[in-house]
Amino acid sequence: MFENEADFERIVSRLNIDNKPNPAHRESLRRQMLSVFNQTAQERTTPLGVFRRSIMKSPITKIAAAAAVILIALVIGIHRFGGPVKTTGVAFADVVRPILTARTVTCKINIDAAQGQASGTFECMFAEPGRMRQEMLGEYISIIDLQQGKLVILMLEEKKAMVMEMENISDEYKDRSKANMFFEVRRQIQQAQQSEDKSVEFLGEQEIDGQTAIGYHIQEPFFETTIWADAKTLLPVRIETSMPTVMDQQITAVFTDFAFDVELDDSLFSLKVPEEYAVETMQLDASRPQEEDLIEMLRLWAESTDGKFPSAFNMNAIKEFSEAWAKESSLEFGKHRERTQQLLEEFNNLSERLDEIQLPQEQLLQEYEKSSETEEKRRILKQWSEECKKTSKQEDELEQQLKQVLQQMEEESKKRLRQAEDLKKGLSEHLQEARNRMMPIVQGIMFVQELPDESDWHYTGKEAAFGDADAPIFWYRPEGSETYRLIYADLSVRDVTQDDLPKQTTETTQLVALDIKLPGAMFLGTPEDTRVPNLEKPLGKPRPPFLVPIGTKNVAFEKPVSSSDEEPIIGEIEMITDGDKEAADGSYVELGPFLQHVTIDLEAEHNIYAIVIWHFHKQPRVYFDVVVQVADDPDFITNVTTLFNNDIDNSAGFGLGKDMHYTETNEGKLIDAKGVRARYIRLYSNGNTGDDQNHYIEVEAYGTPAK
Amino acid sequence: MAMVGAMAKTVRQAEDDDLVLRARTEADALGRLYELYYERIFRFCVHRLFDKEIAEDVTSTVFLEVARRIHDFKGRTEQDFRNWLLRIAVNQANAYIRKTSRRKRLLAKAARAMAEAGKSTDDSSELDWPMLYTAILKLRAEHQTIITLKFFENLEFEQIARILNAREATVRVTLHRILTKLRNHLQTVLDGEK
Repeated sequence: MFENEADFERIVSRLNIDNKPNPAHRESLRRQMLSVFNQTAQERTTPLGVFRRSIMKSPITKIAAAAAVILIALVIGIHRFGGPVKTTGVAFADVVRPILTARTVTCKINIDAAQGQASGTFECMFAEPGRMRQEMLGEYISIIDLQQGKLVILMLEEKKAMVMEMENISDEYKDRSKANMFFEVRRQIQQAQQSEDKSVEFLGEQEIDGQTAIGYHIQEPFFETTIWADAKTLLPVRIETSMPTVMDQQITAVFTDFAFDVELDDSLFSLKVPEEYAVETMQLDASRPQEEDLIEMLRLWAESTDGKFPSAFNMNAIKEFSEAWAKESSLEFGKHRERTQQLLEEFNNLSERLDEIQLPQEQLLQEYEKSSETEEKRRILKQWSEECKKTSKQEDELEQQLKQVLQQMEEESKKRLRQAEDLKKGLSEHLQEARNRMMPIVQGIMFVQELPDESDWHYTGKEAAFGDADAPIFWYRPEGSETYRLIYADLSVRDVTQDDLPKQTTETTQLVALDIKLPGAMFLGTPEDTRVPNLEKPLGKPRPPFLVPIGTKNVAFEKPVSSSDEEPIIGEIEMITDGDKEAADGSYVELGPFLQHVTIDLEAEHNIYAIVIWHFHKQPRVYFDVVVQVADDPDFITNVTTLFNNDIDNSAGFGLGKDMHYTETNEGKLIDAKGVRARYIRLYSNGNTGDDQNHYIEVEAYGTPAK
Repeated sequence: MAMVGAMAKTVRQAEDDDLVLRARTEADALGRLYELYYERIFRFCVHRLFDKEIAEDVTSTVFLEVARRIHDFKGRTEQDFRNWLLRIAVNQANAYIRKTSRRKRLLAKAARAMAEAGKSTDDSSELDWPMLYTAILKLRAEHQTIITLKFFENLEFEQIARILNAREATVRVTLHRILTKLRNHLQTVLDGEK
């Protein structure tokens, strides 16, 4: 054994390890590597520029996914638009001027979507008014012209085109749509300028793509953008922007290789489909969502999910629905297989019955053949004839039934063939489905998302059953109205006064301010500038009251805790739920570096309304990759819900987080758990601004036993 | 002589740096880098993955990844390249053993090798490679990496910290804890032997 590093070094040096390479492997890998190098170099030096093709085996899946993303982005995007151009701060204004004023722009965009489907590098061109051409070499070209309200996608290899005609786009949205990524960046800059540059931070000089550049970072609640410009010419060289999209994923887009105000021929934005292409056309209603869209969405949801309604009205609902949809499709396939099996069994049963009926006749015929006596032969023949008469009706019936079953089997098989053909066609099927199924869902959610705070909207449909005329599921106050619109689970709507709204006076729904006993503050004043990206600004005052149902308490108190680091450097794991929230020495547990997690077992399912975390509040630290999840099982396999994620680069592997970094204070970090039902809570972190270790003083989970 | 030696070193360093810059666009330069680093990466993979065939597979993955990404490699010096290459190797090796089934397969191979070694040697008190590897494989992937880089690749703490994107002090402290854990694991392996 060994005592120290030196001992261990000696042991290793004495080991006899066969690590001699095989020359044949060395030579063959060399050839393979250089061939990959040359191939990549060729792809990069094509006349159209650099393209890194994302690996997506099926072009149908890829194009359908891309189109579905565009479809959904269209609906979301056209309802968001920026204000007038306003420039403040001379250097920043100089840097963004070309972005804001260029009539045409060409650039490359590398899109990195968390779920990969829409990832890749694209050659892009933008031209006023509201036109964009996006091309992935050899795969597809998409052209959007918002003035004409039209989108064309050309699948180059398959020679198929999809034309989408957007109806009812209001003029104000036509040139500022999220469907056009460059204009979205423009919108973000305008929004940052409107907030009087409070959200703009100068990053200083840095070498970017081989040149000295100055950078600006824009931090707004829903997006984050970094602009790098050549230090001498002040022309943008690189823009990195990340924004949340549907499906609860974050998309990061990196723009490079800019050229501003170059001549771009109108033919590049032509919406004319080449003659040899098979065209699919569809219409998309791009008007602002209305109440009827919400009702249609609720109806479609209930019909597709066995009479249920969404868990909540946020972007996660889209994901929830698409999962239910996928499940339904697989059920449909299962039903089809079951039906074929049933028909086959029916056919076999009928055949067996027919054989049984015909058996005596068969036997008589055999006897007839064996017999040599004429008299005997006559007798058998007579008997056979009687037997035939007796069973003929039954036989006819059975044969008729068999014929019918055979017909059904044939139809079923044709149906299957048709489905296979449709799957081959892919584009049409996927898009029609996306339009018919997903778009109404997105429209309904957008309606709710766009309601202003004054609308006082409430949703209580999670547990309601479709068709229940007495169960109110949603209400809101339309703009300028004195009364509320109240929607019931049978999707009927009534106008009611505030007094007639559903009363939330039962014990479980009456809300009270959460009473959290705070530990003493260990530092005063504003925390120092930690230069952490995506950092939440300090509130500068106590946290506002957080409302929870009456009876809610800390259900994590003295509950068992486990950790990925079995041997903490300082303290014991049990300290995390011991109720001691002070930052003094002896009150915290220190876990090793890198990504570590702790798991609290609440010992029974609870409805959790808030989770409050104190990592270490002796100093104003920021912890990295803070991810909070709940689940039904200790291995986090069943019903896993992520409640918080501020991992900005997906280093923890749970996707890019949308939550912000925050500075530790004696208030702890309160995470709204929205009443999620779970037994286990897991918290991840990966070092902090003070050191690489991970610390916990206390974790509280406020909830009630699940009903 | 010392000055000539220092100059030769500087010239070689400059040549290697130039090689790295040229390797972004020139196949010959990349081929030269490959010759310089193949053995080192292969050795690292053997130390992380025990089995030579598996090490060959992962070495292939590492260099193919290099071929695909070298065009966009932002480093300028040979040291930048070395760190980048080792980081790719670390990630690929960790990715390989992250799957439990693969880890089990490696453990089984080490156990077989341990049994065979036991037959052929009289001195059972001496730690052998399969035994040590079995104990190392029980550590977390990051910790295994630190052990390999420090004791098998003989890297300085500073370089390990760069490769793992951690602080030097963290690597030092972590190593101390890892060795304690490794000692315990080794004891378990030795006890199992008896």
